[in-house]
Amino acid sequence: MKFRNVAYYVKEAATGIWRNRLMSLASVIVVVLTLLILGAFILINLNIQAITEEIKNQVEIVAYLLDEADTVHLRSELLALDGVQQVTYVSKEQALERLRERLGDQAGITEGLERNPLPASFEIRPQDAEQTAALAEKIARLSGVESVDYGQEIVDQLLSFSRGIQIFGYTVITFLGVVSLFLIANTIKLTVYSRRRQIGIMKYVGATDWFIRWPFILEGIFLGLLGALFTYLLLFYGYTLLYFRSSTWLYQNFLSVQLVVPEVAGRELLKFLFLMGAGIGAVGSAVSVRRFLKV
Amino acid sequence: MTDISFHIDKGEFVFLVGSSGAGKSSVLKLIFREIVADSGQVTVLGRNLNRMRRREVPHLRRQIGVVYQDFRLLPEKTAAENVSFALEVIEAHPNQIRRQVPRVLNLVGLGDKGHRYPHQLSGGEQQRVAMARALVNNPSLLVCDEPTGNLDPDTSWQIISLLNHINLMGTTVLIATHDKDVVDRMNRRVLELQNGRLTRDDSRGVYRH
Repeated sequence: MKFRNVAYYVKEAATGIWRNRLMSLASVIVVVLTLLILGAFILINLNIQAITEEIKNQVEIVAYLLDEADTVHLRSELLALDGVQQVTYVSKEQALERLRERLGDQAGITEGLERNPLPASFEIRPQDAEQTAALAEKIARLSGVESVDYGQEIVDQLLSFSRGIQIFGYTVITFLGVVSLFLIANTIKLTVYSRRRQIGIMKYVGATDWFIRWPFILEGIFLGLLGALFTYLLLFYGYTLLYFRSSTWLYQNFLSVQLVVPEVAGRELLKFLFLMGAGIGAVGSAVSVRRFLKV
Repeated sequence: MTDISFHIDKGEFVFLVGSSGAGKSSVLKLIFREIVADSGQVTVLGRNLNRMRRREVPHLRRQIGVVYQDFRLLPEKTAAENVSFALEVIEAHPNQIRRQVPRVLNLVGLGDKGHRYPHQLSGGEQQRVAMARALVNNPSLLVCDEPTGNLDPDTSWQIISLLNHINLMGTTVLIATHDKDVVDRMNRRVLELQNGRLTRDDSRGVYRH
């Protein structure tokens, strides 16, 4: 692409936007509306992912040991298993200590015990939360392990829930993306239509299709980016507000659950919105010009 | 269209006549490769258009000038801008544009009217702008579709004289028309189409026998 051409494309795109400024404004509004929905969805999805990730990281398999278990041997066996990230030994004494802590004021009831009834255990953190069940089964078969516990139901439910959310999320994003593409294509079709005479002449005098296409594509990209910028400002401001309003409430009610910090969410949002805006604009206008190039 | 076979030599001046719907426009579209023949062969400027690829078409068109009955000027551009636009969009060098635009405007007799907008020009003058635009890239072939269709007899004759002048300078000219006066007065080669067939090819002909 020659620089002289780029200057021409930019000039033509700017003229196009200015000459159809009402239509351009309408396109930007359409972009903002669709991207608002898409962007809000991205934020929700981002938070659900972060929360599931956080909860997944807290998934733990507890293997209760027989009193006669060979802990040294067992530890090396556990570490040798595929998918084990971390192994922590909890002795009988530590287990009792934890129980006392949990009982608090009533810790006295443990005083009367002749001997420690609590088993020693290994706390095993899996590398991949999805593999928890399979891993727990393998651990249960090791000698010296009396039983395993990993909160089966909660983990299984959580995993299928987060999988479901993701599939739903991608479906909605794809659907909305296609819808907004059509809206943009239709709007840009109007600016293309108002210049069909010019396109016709360009074809007759021997301009290449790409030379004709570029100004419209730039125009589309510019409108898309402008829409993305407005959407970003709106969503980022709204999200930051929500973040600070909700953080105390979430902390009181859900302990470890926190929304993704605005800086991180904003960065993700910016990337997504600008790519989406530019993409929608470019593809939308390319689609609109196509019909007029067949001369 | 069937049974249409003709050859036009470099430097010829040819009328293509026939009533509306006889196939004149289709012949021009074939030459200009707006449509492709589904049988038979079309060769223009030594190139087989049946086998030409889509992306080669612009380069063919840069060697063919076209003029239409309805002028097809851009109303928001001046006469000179309309002409230079044709060079800009084929990515011509600015120096070439600066040189060529005044030259062709002079050639068509509008040297002093380049700054006017189409609505400030008469029909004949607008057609001259269209001709300047068609000629600005020095095409070897000039194709005109009813160039005098919207003009009164005097103006028509001026436009045809200008086309004759351009032909004398070496450009091959092909004019589709049903303007009887013009054809009879020029007495040049006439191709006649009837119902999609070529029925006559006279080297010095009139509109009808």
